[in-house]
Amino acid sequence: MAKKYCCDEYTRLTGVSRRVFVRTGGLAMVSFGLAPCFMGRALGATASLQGRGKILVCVFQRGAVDGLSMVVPHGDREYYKARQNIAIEAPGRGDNRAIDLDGFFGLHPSLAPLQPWYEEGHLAIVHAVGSPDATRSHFDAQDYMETGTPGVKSTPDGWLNRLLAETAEAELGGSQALIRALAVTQQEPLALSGPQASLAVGDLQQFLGGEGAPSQRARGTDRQMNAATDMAGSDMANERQVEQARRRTSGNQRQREMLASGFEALYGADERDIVLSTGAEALDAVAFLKTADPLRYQVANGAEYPNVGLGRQLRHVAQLIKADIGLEIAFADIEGWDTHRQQGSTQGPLANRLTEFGQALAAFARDLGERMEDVVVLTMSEFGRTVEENGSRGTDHGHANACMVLGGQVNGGTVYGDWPGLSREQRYQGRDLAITTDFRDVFGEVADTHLSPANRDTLFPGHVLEPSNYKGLIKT
Amino acid sequence: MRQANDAGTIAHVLNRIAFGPRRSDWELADELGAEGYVRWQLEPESITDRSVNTKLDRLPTLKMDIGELYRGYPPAQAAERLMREDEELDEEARRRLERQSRIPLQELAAARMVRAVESEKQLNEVLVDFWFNHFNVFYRNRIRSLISTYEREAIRPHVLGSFRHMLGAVAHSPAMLVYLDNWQSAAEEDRKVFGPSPRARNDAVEDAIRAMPRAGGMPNPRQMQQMQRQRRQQRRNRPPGLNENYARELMELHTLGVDGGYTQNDVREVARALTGWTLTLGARNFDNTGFVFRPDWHDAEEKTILGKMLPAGRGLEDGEDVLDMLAAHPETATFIATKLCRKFIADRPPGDLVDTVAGVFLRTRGNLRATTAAVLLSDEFLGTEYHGSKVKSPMEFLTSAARSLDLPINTNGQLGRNLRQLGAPLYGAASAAGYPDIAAEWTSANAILARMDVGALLAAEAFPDGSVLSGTGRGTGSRGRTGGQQRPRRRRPRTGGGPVGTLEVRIDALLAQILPGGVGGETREKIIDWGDSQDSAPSNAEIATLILGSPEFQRR
Repeated sequence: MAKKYCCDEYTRLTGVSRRVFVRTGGLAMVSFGLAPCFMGRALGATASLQGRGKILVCVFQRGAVDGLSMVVPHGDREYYKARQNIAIEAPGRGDNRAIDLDGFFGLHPSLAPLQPWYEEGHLAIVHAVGSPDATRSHFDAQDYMETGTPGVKSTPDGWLNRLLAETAEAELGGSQALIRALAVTQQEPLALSGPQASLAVGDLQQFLGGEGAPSQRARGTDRQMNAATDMAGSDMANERQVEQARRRTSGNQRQREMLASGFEALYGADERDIVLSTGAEALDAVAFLKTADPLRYQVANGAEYPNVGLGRQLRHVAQLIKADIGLEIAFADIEGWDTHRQQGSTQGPLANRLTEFGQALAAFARDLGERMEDVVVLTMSEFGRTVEENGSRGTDHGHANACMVLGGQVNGGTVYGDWPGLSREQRYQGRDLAITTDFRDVFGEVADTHLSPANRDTLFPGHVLEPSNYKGLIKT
Repeated sequence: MRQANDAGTIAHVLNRIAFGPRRSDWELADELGAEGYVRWQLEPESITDRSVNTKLDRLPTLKMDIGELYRGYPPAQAAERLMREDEELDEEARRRLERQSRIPLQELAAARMVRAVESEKQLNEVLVDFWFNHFNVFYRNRIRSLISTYEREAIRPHVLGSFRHMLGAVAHSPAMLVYLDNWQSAAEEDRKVFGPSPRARNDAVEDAIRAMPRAGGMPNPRQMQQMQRQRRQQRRNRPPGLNENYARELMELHTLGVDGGYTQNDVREVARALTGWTLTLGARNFDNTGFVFRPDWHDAEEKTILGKMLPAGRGLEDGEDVLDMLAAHPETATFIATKLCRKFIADRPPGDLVDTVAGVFLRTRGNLRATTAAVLLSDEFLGTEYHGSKVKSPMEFLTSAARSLDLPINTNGQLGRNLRQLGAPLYGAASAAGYPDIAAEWTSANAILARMDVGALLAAEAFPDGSVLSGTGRGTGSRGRTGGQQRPRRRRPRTGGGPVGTLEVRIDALLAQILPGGVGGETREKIIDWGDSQDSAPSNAEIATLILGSPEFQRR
């Protein structure tokens, strides 16, 4: 679809009144080329399905991942002194040792899938990155990292939303894609909230109607995602229900269309009312995404995603990228890093999480193949963890952490940043890894060099980005 | 000013201190007037709940104590320890135990939904939901079987009682001790502890007594030796350090709030005060609550918290003093008052009211009945200024939908499972902060669409007119089942059901039933126009679906 019409115009031209595609369950309805009439913010814009610009994918490790286990400073003796039980052994013969990166740092062995990307120069790491604010509250620190204003609680929007504002003008021909930013998380992340339109779709397959979607019928029913924490246990009974329901409801087009038009009538865009505007957006977005049909894109190049959590999220992001809907920013997150007790070293809860994390990222990069030239993945976490292990063989909240930058145009194969050292005097407050790079400088450099915002100074109010200080993470 | 009987105010009250209007509650509230209804609900002791209790009698785990639950429904890992040393668990047995271990929490969730939808003590249930969320625990593997007694003993009895009692019960509860890791927190190596292990002196005798029934006589010397070895091992297994997790959340999330003026040092000192607060969940020795204080783990040196010095040489009193201090702190009063006002008034609670309520909290030393009353009897609450100012959370949406449709709820937990699709499964808030309470958090694209879907399911159940609006979800799971009669006077017709007559009559009837506070004229017009423009008149289920998914129904 190269051009979209405003609803009234379309009706006049075709005599067909609009119907809306609403997802899932018993209500799968059909859409006919909606224009963004409901989305006040996108009024007047014409959508293009031919976007092939640059894309930034942010992956937030919520819960403060232990950066010292993720990217092991095996060259620093203090590391081993501080962690009698949970340190990762230095590279050497045999498994269960750090994978050497540059003679000083190594990857946690569970991140082995990422090693080839580092070797080939597509993965860069920045260590000892963090926030100048001293908070050790997850919630506050995450908020500060997402608003990009550490220490300030009153910032109403996220840094990614401000980035979107700065790249809006740069679109070719003044046209603007309908969905430029999308979070594959349940709720809209603070980083994306603000005046620029973005969407949180949760699980994309569920959002787009799974079983009932035209793109699904050919392949048959997909297994419903069985979340590890599902209290109900086995979903076998559910699947039968799903199949039955699908057969029953696929014959009831009339009914679904009827309901669709009803909801459409009730939800009109009203910026002042969060329920109305969100509802209208939702209906519009589904319609648009259905038309684009991202779920028809298969995983390529033999990539294998873990089928839960981040693996699933990134698989969907890859599909959205392949669908060329004009996406610029994608956001995913992964929890489960708050390893206060029994963290483990090369085995254990942290190692398991890192396995999932590494596999998901590697699969994503592999799946996209050449398209990775346009894509940068940036990982982040609200703070790191204590240098020393605690009384429960875990670690408590710390300060600096490590970020990863993955993409075709990344100057990879290097661990950037100044290493402050881990002796007690070198630690922050005598307990944590000290910060030598402000996270805003990493985020800012990546955003600036990759997406070219019109005005980089609006990204982080109160913090000025100095291009001459950039580390050179991305090829320009 | 207060208009005690106008429909808008009654709806507002029932949407806030109850889980939405239901026919019988509406009649009562109408009779008593808004304020009268509020006052009545503030004294749940005077209300009986016979039909709900009869239903809940069907769920045996609801009454079991922590020992029974842990032994009867242990997580697979713990079960292994229950068995003899030479037995191992195969895959099949492990899976069976996994399923078994889920039962107490499933029953608890089912009970919670039954109560939320059908209890006469609506305010009590709203408050249980609120306070559980405030002192949130997440149903990870290890603590599933602990949550049942947690809700029943640490939360429910105190929601209109004493905040300090609730705080203490939570701090002593195995669920919280495990969830936030305090059960593994002990004095650091170089610190003096309070005393020896509590069982040191009586070990040998106790072991002998315990061994007797199984051996059918005096334990043989080999068994005695084995037990003594185990005991020594236990003593050696004292965790060698402090865990700050609970101490931090105790202040950040449970009492003072993140801006409450405590420092990292305070967190550490509180953690020291709480060392030795742990539990006994070993299969053999159990007391009623599962809590135990280990003097040999407790850091007995001097501490300074929020400027106050706790002298050295004390045991359990250290932790109790900290809880006293926090419960009585003005920042706590403000924090609690703010949360209550956010829950009952608006996302941005009016500052004056917060101050007033905080004052009541302080003056009454944390009397939650008085504090809650201060909110619910205020002009802000009973007036019209804040009508419709809140967006329903998933729980509020689901329960208000079920109540407005008068759907009978079973104890099989089906209704509650819709909460996953809506984004907020019971006991499923992963963070210690619980689920949020502001509109922005509940209004993403998914959330709204999920509500349209779930609304369709419930509408189809309420008005089963043969249409196939059933989809993939679970509704209430009560179709085709007998049992659970709690309103004998209301007969469900065999087919369809609901209002009859012309389209407009039916639409008005359904609007009056589902949105009894009234709807804007525009919405009514839109629905009628929509209905009129269809080829054949929409069924009651279809109309109800629209109303449940409408913007109005998302608000309260």
